[in-house]
Amino acid sequence: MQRHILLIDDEEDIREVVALSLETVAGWRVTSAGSGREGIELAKKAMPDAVLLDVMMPGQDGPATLRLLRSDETTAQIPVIFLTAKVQSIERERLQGAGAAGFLAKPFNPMTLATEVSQILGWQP
Amino acid sequence: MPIKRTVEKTVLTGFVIVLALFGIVGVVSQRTIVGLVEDNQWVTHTHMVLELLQRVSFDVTQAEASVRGFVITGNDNFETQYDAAKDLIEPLLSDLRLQTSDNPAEQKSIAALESLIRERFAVMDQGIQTRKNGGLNAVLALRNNRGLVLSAQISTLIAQMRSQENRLLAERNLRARQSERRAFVVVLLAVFLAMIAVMGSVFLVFRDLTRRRQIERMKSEFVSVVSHELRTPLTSIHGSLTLLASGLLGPTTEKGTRMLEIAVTNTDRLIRLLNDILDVEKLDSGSMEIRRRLCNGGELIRNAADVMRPMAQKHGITLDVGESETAIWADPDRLAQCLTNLLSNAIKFSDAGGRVRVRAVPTAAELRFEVSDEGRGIPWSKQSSIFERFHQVDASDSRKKGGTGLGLAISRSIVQQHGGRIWVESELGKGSTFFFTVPFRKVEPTNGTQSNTNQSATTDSRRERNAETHPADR
Repeated sequence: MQRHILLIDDEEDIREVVALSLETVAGWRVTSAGSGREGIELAKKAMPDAVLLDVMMPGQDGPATLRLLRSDETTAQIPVIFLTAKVQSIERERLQGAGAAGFLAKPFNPMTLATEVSQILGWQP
Repeated sequence: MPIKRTVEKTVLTGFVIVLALFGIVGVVSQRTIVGLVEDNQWVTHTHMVLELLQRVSFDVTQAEASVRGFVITGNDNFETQYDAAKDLIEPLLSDLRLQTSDNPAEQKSIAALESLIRERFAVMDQGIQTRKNGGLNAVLALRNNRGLVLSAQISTLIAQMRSQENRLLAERNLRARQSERRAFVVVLLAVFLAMIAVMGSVFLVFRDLTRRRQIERMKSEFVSVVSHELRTPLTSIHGSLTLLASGLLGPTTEKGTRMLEIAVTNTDRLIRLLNDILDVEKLDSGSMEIRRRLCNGGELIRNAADVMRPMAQKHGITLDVGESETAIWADPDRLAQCLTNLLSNAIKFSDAGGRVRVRAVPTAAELRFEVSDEGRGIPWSKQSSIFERFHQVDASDSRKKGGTGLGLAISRSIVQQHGGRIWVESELGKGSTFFFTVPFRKVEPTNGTQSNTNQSATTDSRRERNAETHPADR
């Protein structure tokens, strides 16, 4: 089943690698946004199956973006997975409280990224 | 570390100053006490001399009164009284001599007094004899006033000596008071300075400790920022290389594929190193939390073996997992990290076709985990140093085997935080067995609540940790 993922990350290179990984390995469709604000607009328009959200972004960061997504009723139900380079569990707990479905650590393995997303969201592979 | 030296120096300096001041206090107190005792002796001595002088004066007066009585009445009782007074005077005078033996000026006065008194007694003896022989009239006929002159001289001399002694007494009292006051000031000053020294060193030590903590916090922040900043470019590099090496993006030449493999392997190693450095930093700063909950020893080794199976297959190693269902109170994620570390080492140092065994053996007080291989073994001299950071048996191992040199150090810290021990038994050429123990401990209530509230987080963290530790195996 072709999934549609919205990826929000300020690093262009990472956006490309994630997109290429999900597209070539799992055959999913990926929409990319370079900032939280752009991501929220795209989420409302494209209604993706899930959002992959970077935590550390200049301006509106990951948790702030997640709050805005949750506060809008069109996007409130879209599951969000954080992509984070911060691996401290204190940090993870803070994010857990923000209402994310799960976490994926950077650096990720592009060959298994889609499988991991599916596992977190309970999707059939 | 320069700051460490400063703290020690400060403590030592403060200690030396306080010790010196207490030494001064001791010496001054001792000298003052000795001085006071001496002064006291002097005062007693002066009183004694004064009393002796009074008794001499009284004795002479008594003798004079007896002589007068005898001359007038001729009564023998008066002569007896006189003889008693005369007998008493010599011991009194010799006592006086003895008491003033240290004072030449007094000795001179006493010598003068003695001769005056002897002469006075001689005159009185003469009076008594004259009375006995010639009666009252014979005495009156003598018309001798030598006795009166002597008596006046004796009184004057004794009065002089008494006033001299009184002056000495006043001087001694003054000196004693002065030395008391001086000692009081010195002791007070020394105690005050000691207090300043103690407060000063406490202040300096606290300041240094605060600074040291600050530096440690900065170091810890630095490590986590650097590790985070390195992670972002590494994510892109690792992702791109892995996709390229997978062949999904199109064919590459054989040499190109080999180069990509090398690049991927080394990026993996870099990521592992980064994660291990972060772990070591967390262990150093004490910020690595141990979240204990009830877990099954058998499940832990089965899970660890499952994680390591792909690596074992790649190296042609059979994993032999023991049966166990013993429950322990521990952090399953951290123990899994230890087990995968040990298993990864065991696989790396085994030859293809070898067997790696993992067991969890309950003993009386603890659960003992064992990971054994049939590899080359570890020389006796290296068996304890391998648990130190960056200490590998062979310097080329980190390159050949892709290790970080931190795995065993991290495992040791984790085991120690659980109150257990970690060690290795090994025979060269036959293999090694790594052991670590986790004591069966009573449930601590604070940890219990903590682990309950974080149960969901731990599941995620385990998933993430696997991603961190073995990116290549996924």
